[in-house]
Amino acid sequence: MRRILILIATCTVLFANTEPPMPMWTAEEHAKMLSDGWIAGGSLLNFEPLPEETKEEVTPLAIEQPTPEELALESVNENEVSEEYLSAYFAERPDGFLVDPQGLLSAREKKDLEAFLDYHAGDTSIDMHIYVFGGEQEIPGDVREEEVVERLYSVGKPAVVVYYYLGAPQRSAIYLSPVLTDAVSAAEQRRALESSVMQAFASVDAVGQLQAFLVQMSIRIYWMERMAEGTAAETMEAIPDGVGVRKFHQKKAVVEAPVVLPEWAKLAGAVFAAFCGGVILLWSLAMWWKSRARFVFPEFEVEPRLGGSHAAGIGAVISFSSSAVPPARQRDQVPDYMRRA
Amino acid sequence: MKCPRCVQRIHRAAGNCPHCGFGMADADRMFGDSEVKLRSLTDAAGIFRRNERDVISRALEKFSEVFPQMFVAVYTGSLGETGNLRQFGFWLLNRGLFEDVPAEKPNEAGLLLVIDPDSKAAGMTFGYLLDPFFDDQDTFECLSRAHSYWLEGRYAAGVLKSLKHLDRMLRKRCKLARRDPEKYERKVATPVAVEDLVKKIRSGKPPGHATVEKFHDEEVER
Repeated sequence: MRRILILIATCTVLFANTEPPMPMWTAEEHAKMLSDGWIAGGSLLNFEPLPEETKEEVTPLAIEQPTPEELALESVNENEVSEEYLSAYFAERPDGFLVDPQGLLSAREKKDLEAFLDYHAGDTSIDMHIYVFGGEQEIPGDVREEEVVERLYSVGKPAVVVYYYLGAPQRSAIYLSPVLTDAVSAAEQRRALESSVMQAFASVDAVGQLQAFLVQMSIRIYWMERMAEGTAAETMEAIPDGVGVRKFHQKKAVVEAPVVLPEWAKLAGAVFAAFCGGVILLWSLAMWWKSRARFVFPEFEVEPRLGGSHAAGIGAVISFSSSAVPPARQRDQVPDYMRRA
Repeated sequence: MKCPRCVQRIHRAAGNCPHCGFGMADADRMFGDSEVKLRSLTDAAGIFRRNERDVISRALEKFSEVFPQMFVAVYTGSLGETGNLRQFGFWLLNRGLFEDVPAEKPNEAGLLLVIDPDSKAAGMTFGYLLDPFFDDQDTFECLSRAHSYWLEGRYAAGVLKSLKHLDRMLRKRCKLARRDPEKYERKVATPVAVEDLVKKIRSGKPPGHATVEKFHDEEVER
């Protein structure tokens, strides 16, 4: 029985796997269809071989090949700072602290930043010079930054020179006057730069980044100054970054409104603050005293009435069933039978 | 001093209302003549939420601290007609045994606030301690403060508002009472008998002076 079942199953499988033959046009049918002008399924059942694709011959265009001079020009990096600005950048020590001959910053932004740098210069003995470049720009290879700093900043007030790439603060580079390089180690310089870059990244727009960078760098320069004087610790790793933010606001406020109060105003302010403090203190004491106050009524002998051993003090009754009957209309307490319906 | 049933004025030490004859016996007949055990905050009507009950309880405790002689109790329940509210308050403050009130604070020193959410009425009753210093107009002022809250169904807020006003009013009244106790004593002093009055006139003292002297003597003794 089992063998019979296996045989039947095998035959079924073989039969199922055998594909039926494809339909074929007979010669008579094909001729008849052609005479009618249309063959159903002709596009599928085509006996004719497919035409071979014609290969188009590529003819080279008659264009002049580039000359060696042109090839040499192509090799020049387009991102490099244009030669016309190089002298403005690196020819001599700049008069201002912000060097932007390309005009990458607007006049207002430049004014704000210069004001800050001026303030910084007046506040410390180390100047800060910022060379502003585009975010994608590169300084040409024939300009050696170290050499420029040595050449321009060896004499005069010590300075920290920063090559800042607008929108890409991570590409910034820092160089110190030769006077400072002995006092401030390369590690400290690197840390100052990293800290400033970190602060810059807290802002989104390019100018905001530059401002944050300068503020943090200014703080770092203050510590460099102390290190140069020998009054600061050997390392500045412990300086919190938050200090920078506070300093920024303080310094900005000072830059925008350098108001110096006269002595009498300070004295008046102190007196007023003391007065307010005194009032608040007195008020607090009064509140405290009031909260601790205890109230004891004198006790009198009251004869009981209406048979009540503890109380017969019948107070008011108020109805809150309707807003049309406010308390003012319920002041006269009368028994219910005397009320109007 | 008014009668809880007819709300007519009654004289001091009246055993029954001279107008309608109401007395404690009538109240006992209506509500029962045995003592009722309850807490100072009894929400029989179930109108307060749990946290509201806590807040009111704290307010009641605070009141007891500020006024060491006194306590306030709050009772909510359905009582029927508004007229019964006065009688019920009168009866409950006399028959109530407040479990959470210290024994040194008898019901004479109590203030009872009764709220009936069904008849939408509230009343206030006070013990004999406050008789010289407090009257029905004062209780009316306290209840009026809560009227708008109770109108909206905010019972707890209304109770707190009422208690706050009560606290403020009693503080002022206490200061006045400490300053001029004779004025308040005269309100509750036992009326002088005619014979005594004649004797005093003959002895050359003005009437009403006796009570003040008596109070001063008591004060000195204390």
